[in-house]
Amino acid sequence: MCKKNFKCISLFLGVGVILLLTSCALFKGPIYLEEPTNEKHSLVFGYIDMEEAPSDLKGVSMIRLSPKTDEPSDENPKIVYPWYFFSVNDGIFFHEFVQPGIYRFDSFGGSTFAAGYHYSFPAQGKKDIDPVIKKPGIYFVGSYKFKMIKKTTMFEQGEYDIIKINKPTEKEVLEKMLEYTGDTIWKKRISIKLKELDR
Amino acid sequence: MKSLRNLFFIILAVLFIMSCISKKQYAGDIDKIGEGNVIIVGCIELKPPLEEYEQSFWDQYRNRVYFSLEKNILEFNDSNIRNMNNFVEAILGNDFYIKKMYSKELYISCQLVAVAFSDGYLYLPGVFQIEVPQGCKVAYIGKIRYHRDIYSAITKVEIIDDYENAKSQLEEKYRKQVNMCRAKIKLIEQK
Repeated sequence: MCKKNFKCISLFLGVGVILLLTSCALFKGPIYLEEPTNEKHSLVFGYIDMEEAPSDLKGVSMIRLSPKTDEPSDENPKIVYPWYFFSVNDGIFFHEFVQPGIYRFDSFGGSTFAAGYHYSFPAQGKKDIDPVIKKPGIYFVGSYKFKMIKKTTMFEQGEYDIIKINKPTEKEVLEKMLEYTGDTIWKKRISIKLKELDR
Repeated sequence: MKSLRNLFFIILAVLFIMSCISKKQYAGDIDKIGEGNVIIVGCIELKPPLEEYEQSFWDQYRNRVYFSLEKNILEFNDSNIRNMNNFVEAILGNDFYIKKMYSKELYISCQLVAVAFSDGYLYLPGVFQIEVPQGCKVAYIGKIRYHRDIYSAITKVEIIDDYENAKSQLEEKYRKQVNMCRAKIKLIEQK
């Protein structure tokens, strides 16, 4: 079959992610959750173990497939690009402003001192990680491990896989996230969710 | 299994691919295609079509589909990237015109649609075998219509016979009558 390594088109996004990651790298402290700005916002979160990856994890991106757009805004009256860029703390990625809809995770990335790295989720077909948000809430998309298949040098292409793992559990990740909530409403909501998970 | 890329490799790949993709559509005189050659007329369509947010960031890749004319499907990696020379670029939904050396069996394979996300393309599965009648100089293969779900998984492949429309477009393009035959096309590999 046709091997999926046609990569020229992803440069722009790749560069965008790398720039985002580089700017994130300058900020050493944890990223805190912010208050939701409307009642439809959900918290979507997950975890990626990057121990076998050549880089750490500094960014994750997701695309909303449906609905097509949000309400038009003055800044962008015709179309709202449905990209969501997640915050990352210690392998935990989260976004607290996710509207109801059907989503597909697109890519993630990180950096080392010398280079930025950009990895893609498969572009076609529904994956375990892809959430369907029907009503506002807290949605765990799972814990995953970056599995190196073939190591390479900087000048070669490598191969990897993303496999689902059982640890950390949703409860363990949520307990860790309590450290990032400050005094926002998310602290209360996560606490309620933790109690539900204990039942 | 997925591919791991670093920024350096992406830049190298872009430079290689942009310089290597061949735009082999025929633009010459339809009556002067040369002895032993045939013009293949067809179309590749995606349903639903690409959304604005899915389109490539670069104008030259908007609604572009790339495909090979080889039976043995090529792999895009750093060692054989030069094989991109064998790819044809077409516009989704528009008829393409490709000049090929006549052979009883020709092929279309490895269809890729340029997009803005993930690996930068969607993969349209299938190897199609084309049988061109002997003596035919302009052969119509039909419209290959790919249906996709919301996650862009291909759910159905159809071959639509849009011969009359294709013929009238061709005749309008060349401002003359064109003797276009129908070629047989069949899906021989679904991957």
